[in-house]
Amino acid sequence: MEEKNLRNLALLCSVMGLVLLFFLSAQTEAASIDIDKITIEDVGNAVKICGEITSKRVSNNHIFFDIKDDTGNIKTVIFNTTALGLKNKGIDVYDFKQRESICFTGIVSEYPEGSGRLELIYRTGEIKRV
Amino acid sequence: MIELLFFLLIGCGLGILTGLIPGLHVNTVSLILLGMSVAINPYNIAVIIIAMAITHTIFNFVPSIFMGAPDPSTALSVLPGHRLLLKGYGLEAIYLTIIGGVGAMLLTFMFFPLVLIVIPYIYQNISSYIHFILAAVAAIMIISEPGIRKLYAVVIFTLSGILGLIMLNSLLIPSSFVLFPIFTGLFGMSHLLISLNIKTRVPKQKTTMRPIPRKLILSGIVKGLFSGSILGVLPGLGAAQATVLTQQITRRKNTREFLISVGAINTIVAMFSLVSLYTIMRPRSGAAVAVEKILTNFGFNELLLLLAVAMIATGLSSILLLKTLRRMISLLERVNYRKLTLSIIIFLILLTFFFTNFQGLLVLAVSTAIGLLAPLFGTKRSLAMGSLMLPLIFFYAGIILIV
Repeated sequence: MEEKNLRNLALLCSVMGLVLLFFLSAQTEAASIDIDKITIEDVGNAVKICGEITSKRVSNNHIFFDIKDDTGNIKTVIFNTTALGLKNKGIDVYDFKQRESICFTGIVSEYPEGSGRLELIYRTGEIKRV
Repeated sequence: MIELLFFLLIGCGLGILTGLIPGLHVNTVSLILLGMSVAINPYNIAVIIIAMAITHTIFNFVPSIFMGAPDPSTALSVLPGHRLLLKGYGLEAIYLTIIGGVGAMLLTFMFFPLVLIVIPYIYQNISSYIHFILAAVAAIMIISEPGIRKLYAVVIFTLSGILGLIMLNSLLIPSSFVLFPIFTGLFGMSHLLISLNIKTRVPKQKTTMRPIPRKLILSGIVKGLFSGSILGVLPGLGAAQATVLTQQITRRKNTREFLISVGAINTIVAMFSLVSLYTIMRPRSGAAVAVEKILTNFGFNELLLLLAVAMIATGLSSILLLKTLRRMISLLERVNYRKLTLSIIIFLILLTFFFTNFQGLLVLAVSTAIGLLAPLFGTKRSLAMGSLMLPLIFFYAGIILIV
């Protein structure tokens, strides 16, 4: 294939591929899951839980919620840059209160590494009061 | 002690492999090693990773100069290295990068206490302006392209930036693996596909080296140290961008000084990423990210241990490369480059599928297509770093939530 054609083909594939990835990403949501079903195997994956905030702590503008549902409880974290960004977008997570019910999408993480203790870290996706 | 030395040697061995095999990146192997940290003492894994990362920075100039097969950090060294290669001074080209690497390591070690103070100072004073600095570096990368290629550069930077924005804000691929198909496609796969169509032949090389003035060595290392130390501390920037900066401050026609600087930059960026992890708690390389995950209590003792490992690995790998360079060159002349490239392509596809499933293969295909644009349009490959730089510019400007 001539270099010019190859160039155009690569450009076309790039643009079409980006459009496809954009729509696929927009449609991808984290699977809703009971807290007791979250295991070490899920580390790195995004999951969505819905439950009640049993405790809330703010430190250096990072927010730490403990969330429980009918099956168990888990620690969740929203880092300060993300929390402030959400606030700018009209979702004031600092305003979420204890005993409120929320849905929280987060990446399963083991902290400290090797401890077996799991937590959810918010990166993107749904977070709202229910 | 002997145990640590044993794992250090394993790291050096792996670094030689990642350095010599185009497309096989330290980050890829670090990810695999990360999975082993349950079975092996985390300190030993960290030693392997750092020894591997440092050895890689010494050895990866061999394929970039002799096979035209660089990774992002050595991409810009290909042309000057090839110029010397075509004149029969390929050995000298590698020798210059080793001088840069060893010199940078010694300087960093000599000024270690100063580095501990300077890094937080640099970071604190410029962290509020990171998006402006990143944008300025991007602008320099684009403007430094000649003529119409400036336009192509904008297109490539923007497309890779959009790819980064989509994928880093997506749940399509687990966040811990999302960069793997992106970088494998942009820098590994795309280059390997191009390499398949190029007949690589190493011309007969001179076995003697010309004298290298001390002044040239010192200025090359200091310029590399300057660029590497500033850009090594900033997120989203690394050896590739530091090399762009060095290109602007070194005398363009002095290939030898430039190669010393590039050798210095690679080692400095690898070293500073560790120091950054300690001083500002920000890992600035894949290897440092892996170390941060393995050694959750990373403190001054861990920093000293890993810096010592880095020093020993630099010395060992430099001696090893100097001792084996001539033999390696004759081996490279005989190796079936096409078969080697094809095997690496298949290996990377399988690895991508293993880590990220079909979604990852789709990302790999798109990023490969974008990665192909730079060589096809004749622009710098490092423009594809837009995949990380654009999201970071948006993040630090407060436009997006995460990177």
